[in-house]
Amino acid sequence: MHEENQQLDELPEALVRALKAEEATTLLVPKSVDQAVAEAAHSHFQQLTPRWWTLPATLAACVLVTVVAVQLVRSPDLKGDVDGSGQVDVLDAFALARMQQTNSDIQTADIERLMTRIVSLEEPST
Amino acid sequence: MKKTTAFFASTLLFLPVLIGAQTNVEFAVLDIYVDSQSQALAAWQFELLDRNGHMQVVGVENGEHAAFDHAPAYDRDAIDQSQAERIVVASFSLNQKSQLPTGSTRVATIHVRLHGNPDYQLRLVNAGNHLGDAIPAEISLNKK
Repeated sequence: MHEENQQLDELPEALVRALKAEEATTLLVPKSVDQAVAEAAHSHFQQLTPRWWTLPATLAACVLVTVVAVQLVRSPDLKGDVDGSGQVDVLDAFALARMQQTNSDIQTADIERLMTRIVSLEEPST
Repeated sequence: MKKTTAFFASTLLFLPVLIGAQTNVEFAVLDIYVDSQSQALAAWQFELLDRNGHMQVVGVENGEHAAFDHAPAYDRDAIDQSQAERIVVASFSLNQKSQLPTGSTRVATIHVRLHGNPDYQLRLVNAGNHLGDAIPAEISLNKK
């Protein structure tokens, strides 16, 4: 505050008078303007009131999401179903090996990994 | 004293027989055949288990045809750890159609250790031709 007053003392006197006069002015919002703003806000937020169908729709969406999630968890791991038969077996490894003949991106290690998985006793019976 | 000695002697004499009767361990060799009839067999997969739970797989050999002269795929770790009470075996060949077997072919030989009478369950998971199409085929086993 002291610094502020010191700075003001260094300015031209006319400017200082004008600035002090500005500080003294009280900004008033007319009552009519204030009321208009309040009414507009009230009207706006009243439109946001939930419709009667909002709760049932929300519940239905939750149920749908839950059902989909459960189905995804239950689905067998069909990664490796190269031939799209619905099960992962030797024909998928065979298909991958045949694809390798024309696609150098397919590694032999990928085929071996798939075969290892197919015959693994840790995998559920196909 | 003589009776006691005779008793112990007879026990020692018959002890191996008694032990053998209790454990009844034997080894068996099973030849697995896949009959693809007129279709060329390019890929196959089967599962073998014993419904009585008396079987343990101790080894797997490849089959008779040149197209499958390489070792088939199976869970080696489970066999090495003597934990293979069932086994899944699979193999494929990228040979041309003319170089693939047709009809009945011995695709693998399974060596098993048994500690009781087995009730084998053999299931052909899938068989395919040179195009990768699933083909109808029959599977059977022959105990040597």
